[in-house]
Amino acid sequence: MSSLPSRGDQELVERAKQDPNAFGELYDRHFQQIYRFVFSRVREQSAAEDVTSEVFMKALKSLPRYQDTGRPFTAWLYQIAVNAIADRYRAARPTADIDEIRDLAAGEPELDAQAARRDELRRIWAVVEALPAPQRTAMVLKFQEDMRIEDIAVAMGKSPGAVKLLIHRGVTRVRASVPRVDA
Amino acid sequence: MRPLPPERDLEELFGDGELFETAQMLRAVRAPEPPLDPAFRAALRRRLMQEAWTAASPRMTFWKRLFAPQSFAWAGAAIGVVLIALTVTLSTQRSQDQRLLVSSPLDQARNVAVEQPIAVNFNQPVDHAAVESAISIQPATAHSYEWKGNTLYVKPASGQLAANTQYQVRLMPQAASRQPLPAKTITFVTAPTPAPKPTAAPSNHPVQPITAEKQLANATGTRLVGWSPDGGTLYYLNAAGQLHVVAADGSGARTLPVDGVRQAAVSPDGTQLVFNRAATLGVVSADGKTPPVETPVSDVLNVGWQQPLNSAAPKTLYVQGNAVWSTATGIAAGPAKVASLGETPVAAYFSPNGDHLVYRGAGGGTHLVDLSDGREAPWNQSLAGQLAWSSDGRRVLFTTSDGLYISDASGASAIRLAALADLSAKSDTVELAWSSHDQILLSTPSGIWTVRSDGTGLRKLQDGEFAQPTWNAAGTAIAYRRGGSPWDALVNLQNASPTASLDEAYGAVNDFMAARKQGQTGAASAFLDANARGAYGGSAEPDLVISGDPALSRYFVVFAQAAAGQPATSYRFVVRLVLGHGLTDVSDYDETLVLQRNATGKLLIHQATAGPRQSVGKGPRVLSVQLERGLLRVTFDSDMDAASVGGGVTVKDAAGKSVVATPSYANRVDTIMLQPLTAGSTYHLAVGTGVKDISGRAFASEFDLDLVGLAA
Repeated sequence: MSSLPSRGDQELVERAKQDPNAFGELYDRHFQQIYRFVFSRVREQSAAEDVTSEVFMKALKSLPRYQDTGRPFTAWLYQIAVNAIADRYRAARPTADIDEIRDLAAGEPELDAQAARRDELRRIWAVVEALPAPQRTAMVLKFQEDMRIEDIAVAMGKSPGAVKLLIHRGVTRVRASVPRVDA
Repeated sequence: MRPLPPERDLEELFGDGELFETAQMLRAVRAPEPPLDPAFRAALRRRLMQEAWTAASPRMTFWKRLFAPQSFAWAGAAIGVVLIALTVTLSTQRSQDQRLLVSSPLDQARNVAVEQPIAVNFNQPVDHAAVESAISIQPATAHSYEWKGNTLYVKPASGQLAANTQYQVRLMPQAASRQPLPAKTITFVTAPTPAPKPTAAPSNHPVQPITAEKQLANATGTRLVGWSPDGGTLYYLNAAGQLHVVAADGSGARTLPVDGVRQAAVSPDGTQLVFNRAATLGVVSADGKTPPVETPVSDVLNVGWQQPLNSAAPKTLYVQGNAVWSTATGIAAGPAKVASLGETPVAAYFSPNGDHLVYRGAGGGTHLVDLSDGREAPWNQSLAGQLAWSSDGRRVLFTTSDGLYISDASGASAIRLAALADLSAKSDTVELAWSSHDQILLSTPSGIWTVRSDGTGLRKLQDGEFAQPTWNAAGTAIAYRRGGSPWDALVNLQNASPTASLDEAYGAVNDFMAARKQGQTGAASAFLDANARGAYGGSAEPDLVISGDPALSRYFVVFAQAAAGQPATSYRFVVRLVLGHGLTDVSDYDETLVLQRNATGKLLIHQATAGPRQSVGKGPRVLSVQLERGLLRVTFDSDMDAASVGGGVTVKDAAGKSVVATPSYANRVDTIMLQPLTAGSTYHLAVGTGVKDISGRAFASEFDLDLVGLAA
């Protein structure tokens, strides 16, 4: 998923401020995860392409002003993505069926338990999809993109405490809506 | 489940209780990689690199040039600070007030008319040059721009968009642009007409489509009620509202014992008629031997019949006020409300078996009512004229303010069959008749027309007055009003033109494809003979019903040809099946279907083969092929590089020898004059991968099609 090559990124970012080829390398590294995150929010391919284009165009334009604050470069990219999605879909919510896009990374569970588990997990993510946008975004960045809370805070422009609250509320809501979960 | 390494954040946040369990479960869920177009990824990278290199090229900035002399430096800097502060303040205010939004009325639309520009709306003034340089269109389309206020009209150079085509108009942001533009993709699909004109051997003995015209009675102000189920008897009202009966040959004229009738309808079994007068609703036996039974009901808009599924006796239906009512045949037993209507209806159309009603309300809305449960839903189209149901009650034919359309009962998936301009008529002057054999007649003040239910074959059959055309149940004759009197005539559309022998095959292919699109395996299988069932029964394509994602979103006929000779014994169709994900078409493939008649004369699909799947939007495509004597027309979805078309489209005979041809390309159509082909011989059309569109994109793979030479 998203192991964040932050250390190599910072060197690359500094180079990219002078060398377009380095920006190309950053693009190659992070396109997939940004596109995936955007798609998970907008649910439609052409919209995901539009927003992803906007993210990288803004990143290119803003790169000279980027400063290493110790957070991963990807947190900055996610921040641009979060804002771009919010700008674009301020009034709209994705409506596609969760089953259309979400699946399980199936390991080797017992066959008789698999269907029940799959249903349960789908219900869980259906609840996530119904959460308010900030909670939803925090949950996706935490549980799908494996980001640290401090980095999510950067991406969302919130304090770590606020992100913790969003995630806590989100997980509590999931727990309340899908009461029995056998891990 | 994927392995879950320890997560300090979550342990801190949730401890190890139930919430932690839930959090771990959420971590275990993994979304699959989303659909990604590699071409998009590569194109975005190219654009970014281009922008990056442009930005990196050394140049002196504006403020440096302005304040280059040392003596002006401090003053310049001071002014600069003020300017920057002002700019930041104003731009912040502006961005807070109004973000730049892009939209289009065509975005995500289907069945978009081809004769229109692509409108792109901006919510505030924009830099025209920046927008125009940021726009690209797929498929490649030569175009010009016109601005009206904050709306950009992208106008295809040929005057029309390609039919049956998914367009994607992209606005790509450019970092170097003076005005930042949001990225936006406008996606829409154009209307499926016109389909290729059928290719068939001409007949030397064309048959008149309308014959044996007969005036059945001398009357005034006739309004037709309908035929008896056996087609032997016609019921009509005269100007005084007297209910008349006459045989199809004009004999046996008589009058039923009611007058002042406003509306009437023949029962499904033909034994009774329901009617309404000024203040009553009544039922009268069709033979007139039983006195009518009436009950007080006023202000009835329309009457009809409902045939229950359990073969019980039919019930009468009527629309009164804001409700639909039903009574048992014993009409005095009292009515039952079937449905409440959201608007006061001004026009109402019962489906043939009375299970649905489409009505237009006084407020202008059109609604569909399910008479089995009384539920009403907004209809998906805006009805401006008449509406006619198909005999199975699954489709409707109707007029809007701009044309004649066919759709499913809900008004969705509408296909325009004809523009009102084609008929030289207004919406309220077109009268519709749809036979049980899918034959469509359109009566206009100038004459009577026909069109196939897929939108092909629009033609005028005859001049003159054919008001209120009404098919008999067998689809062999119509009644109509002329000069105020009832008339009837035999109608034969099957042999009405050289290409009419294809009508039936077209109908079969359309019904077959419609069943597949709706996932109706049984209904689709009914169009297959044993050989074709085997073709669809294997593990490889073709699939009879395409399940999963992407799903079958639409289809259209690329080519149709009858075997040489009259009557034709087999028909070959190439149908393109377009598969979509959500509202976006992503891939397609062509199926070749061969239809033959079985022992009882029914046309069935005998062979079916599928071509390879191709991605949508990956280069130009052939939309349709038409073969007429000495002329072959190949229509593309893109504006093409004429030189590459000239050399890349070939026709060869069975021995591989090129046919002498003179090509001429214009407006997406390659018209090729051929030397006379040998009737019945097979020829091969190929559009090679060297054929390119105006943006230089080539055919992703060769397009191949077998043709049969036509009789001279």
